[in-house]
Amino acid sequence: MSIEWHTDGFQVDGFENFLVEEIRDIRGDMYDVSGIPHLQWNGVIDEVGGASNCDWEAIFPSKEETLQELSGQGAAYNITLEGELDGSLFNYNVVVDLNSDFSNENQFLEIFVAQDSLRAWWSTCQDYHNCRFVGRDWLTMEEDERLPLSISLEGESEIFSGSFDVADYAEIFPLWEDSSVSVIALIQNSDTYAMHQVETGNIMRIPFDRDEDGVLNLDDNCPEVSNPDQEDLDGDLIGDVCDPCNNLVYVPGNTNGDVTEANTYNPAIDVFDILTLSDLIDNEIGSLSSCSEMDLLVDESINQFDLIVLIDMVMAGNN
Amino acid sequence: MKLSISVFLSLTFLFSQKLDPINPNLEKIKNMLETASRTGQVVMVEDFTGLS
Repeated sequence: MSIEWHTDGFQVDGFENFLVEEIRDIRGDMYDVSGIPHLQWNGVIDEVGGASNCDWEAIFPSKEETLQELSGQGAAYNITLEGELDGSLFNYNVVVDLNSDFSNENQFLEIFVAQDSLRAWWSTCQDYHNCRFVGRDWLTMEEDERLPLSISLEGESEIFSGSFDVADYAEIFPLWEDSSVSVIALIQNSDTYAMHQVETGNIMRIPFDRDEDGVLNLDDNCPEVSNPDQEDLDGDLIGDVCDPCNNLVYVPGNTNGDVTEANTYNPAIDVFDILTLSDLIDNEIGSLSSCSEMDLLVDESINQFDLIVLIDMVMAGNN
Repeated sequence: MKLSISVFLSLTFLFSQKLDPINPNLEKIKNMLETASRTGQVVMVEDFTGLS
């Protein structure tokens, strides 16, 4: 994956100026860019200098060596893009998952808009250059736009939502074409500048209905499982077909998740819940369903004080 | 007639084996990029450049 930031030296008559000066300067200052071309690999490895006499194939071996060094590495993060073009407004979700524990200190999600495959005349080399993923905007550049990551444990997930109007760019950039526009999402450390994952997608081809149930990902309460009717019995905005916990049953105190009558959703909070919670506190049992809400005091610990609260609930006739 | 057709078909097969030359360096880099994406790490390059 790549993104190009062009210098203010690009002023070819008849062709669009690709400079986005403020963004280019900020990103360039991050990496102490002076001479060009300057390649910054994964935010941490820099290579400066181009080809002599426009013989770019001659320098491929050196780029290959850097690519080999960086390729094949595992990544803690996984990024999934979802989006929908509504008129000229592109609405998107960036879903960040963790495959393993990873510190979120100084980790930020950066989002860019780029335009791909722009041909421009390169007079020095007397040939057309196919400019790939020319940077057009940095959506998370300003302080009030920053997106710090909050997840740090394996299995955790975080969704960032936003939108931009492609019509705004069409007014700024001549020869703008919506069909060549991509969103680039990457995770970068603001202190070391190391990049930990990247994902990109053309705005015309980013998946908008992954489970093909007729409900857009952005609106789907079970985006991975087909549920066209969007049933959500407990109203927790997670569809029944993918909801592991029925919140009508797993209310605080219903430690064992049982009901008063079969085929109903009436939670049974009774002496059996007291016995179950007592066994858990005494380490007689390892764990309960992840749906059970046992932290009755909401103090981030489960102990005998929660047991006292549960006893009070049962004595007061909660069942 | 049969000989003409045979010669024609033989010539057709011969020329069909002439493949377009592929730059080996480009192919190697492309394969590595595809492998990298499958194993989880996507390599990102920020290219500060300019044409004149």
